[in-house]
Amino acid sequence: MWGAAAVRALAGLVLLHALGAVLIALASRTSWRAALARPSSALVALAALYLVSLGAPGVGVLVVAAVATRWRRPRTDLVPARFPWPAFVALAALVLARPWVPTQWDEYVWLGKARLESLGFGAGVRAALDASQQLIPRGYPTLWPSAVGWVSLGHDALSTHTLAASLLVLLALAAALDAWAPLLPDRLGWPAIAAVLAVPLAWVHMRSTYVDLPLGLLGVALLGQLLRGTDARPPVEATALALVLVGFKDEGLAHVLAASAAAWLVVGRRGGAWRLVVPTVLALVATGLWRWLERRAGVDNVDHALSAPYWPWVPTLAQLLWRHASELFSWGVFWAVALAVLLGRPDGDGPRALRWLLLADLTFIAVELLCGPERVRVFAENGTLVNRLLMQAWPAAAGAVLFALATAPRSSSPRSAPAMPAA
Amino acid sequence: MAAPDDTFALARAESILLDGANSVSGQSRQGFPSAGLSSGFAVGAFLVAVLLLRSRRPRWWLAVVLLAAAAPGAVCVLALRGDAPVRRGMLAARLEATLQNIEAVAPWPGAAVEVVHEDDDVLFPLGRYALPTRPKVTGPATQLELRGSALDVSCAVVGERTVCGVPPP
Repeated sequence: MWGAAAVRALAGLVLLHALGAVLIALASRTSWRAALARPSSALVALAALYLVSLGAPGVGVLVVAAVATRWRRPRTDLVPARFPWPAFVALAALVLARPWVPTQWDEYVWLGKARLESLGFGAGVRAALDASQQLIPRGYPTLWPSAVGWVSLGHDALSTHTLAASLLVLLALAAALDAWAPLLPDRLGWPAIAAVLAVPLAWVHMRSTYVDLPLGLLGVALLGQLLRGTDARPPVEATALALVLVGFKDEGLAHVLAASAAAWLVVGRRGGAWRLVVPTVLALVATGLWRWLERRAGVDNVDHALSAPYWPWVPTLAQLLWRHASELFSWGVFWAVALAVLLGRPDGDGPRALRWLLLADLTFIAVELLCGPERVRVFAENGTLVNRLLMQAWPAAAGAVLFALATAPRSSSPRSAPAMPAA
Repeated sequence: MAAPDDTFALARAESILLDGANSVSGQSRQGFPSAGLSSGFAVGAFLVAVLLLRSRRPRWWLAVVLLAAAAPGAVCVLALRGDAPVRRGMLAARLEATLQNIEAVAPWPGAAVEVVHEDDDVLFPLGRYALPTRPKVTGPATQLELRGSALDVSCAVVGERTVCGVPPP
């Protein structure tokens, strides 16, 4: 049974990867062979399939996205960075070495919706836009479970869905590593890498199929791609990442805006506006399209309906954030160190951009909790939400801490963190 | 296989299913009983980090601090939790068997099933996987109830309904 699951899920990922490579070749100056070598090409396919699954309006957005991406494609291909395959394979082995059965609440709820794709392509969207089907959570974007179904090639089995979702978690990790590989200091050192990865709750989520960690990883990946873009034009991957983020979950839009803002604060004023505008606008259009489809279908999303801030809850919010972030068993002292890094003066574009991204991520957590519906604050007070939101911010914080650990003390050497190529 | 430590909040399979992703030790659900201790470590680590980041000392000391502070949580993840590597196989088997029991009486999408009651507890997510869509059924249908707060449940016909879990009194 697990053999069939492995064959299906791996074949599904390979097919998506090949499709993504073809799309990259069509939309950029990259050859399809070079695109095949990019670890995160499958995300481009997922972005395209998501828009197609939304029906005719989605296809329209896909056409616009393709034209905009090709029109503003980089004049030169990105220099391929050396992907850290040994480290990635080791992490992947640790993530996948478990029974392919979900063990936590939301895994079952999300993977249940992945089953819909076994009924046909786009069945997840059709069910989500049909209130009589009573899907929960109601009104959420469909890409995460649909992507699990696509990677599973429609094979309706729990083990296949679990493995497929885990492969997507790893794909998000690969996207982040791929985007940041050329931006990281030359010598990171294993102690620094181990220290950043030594966050117990992060390992719980790595070996799970919750969408929070992938969202954070993809946000970091988007920032890396925006910083990497040459001649101020966004690479195809940046657009794909932005679309995938908003397709995975509503919070994805916050990650897109956070990454775009962080990139703008670092490179935008050097004439890099285009690299930010295209992915961000397309993500906003895709979000607007989903909301319009929901409204037309009479499906409301009560979880993420924002309203005026509930100011009396600010002290509770501060206390909850402190208690969650400082909790020794889940986080060690990671957030205390991240806060110290946040207050420091980072050297180089990468560390500065990560600091802005982390600040934006933490701001969006506060906004979501203060401006969200009452039930969101109830979840937070019950201890079932804040750590998952912090998990979305963890990749940005981990990157910032990694740079801080890998950078030599200020007085002993000049900047060791590389600056970004001029836009 | 080591027996679960019942004094640890996330030792049981049911508690992993409910709260396994929300924290490593169940502290967030319990109202942070060790908040004072955790806060002390956090403040200490913050001060150490500020000093190290602004000093000429090598920063690998900070890596040591991070690694040392992760040890208690690592013990939970590797040994104490109900999904610790040594228990993960058994946990998966129990979850899979329970899910199969539900799916046996409510095959999706073929059978007409109406979920007439489901407790907001451990069987809820399994029921959602078994029956991801719940369209209104017109005509004869299995009237399904998902009850109780334990795994390893069987399903039985009680009156006109099929009950998975503990039947109502």
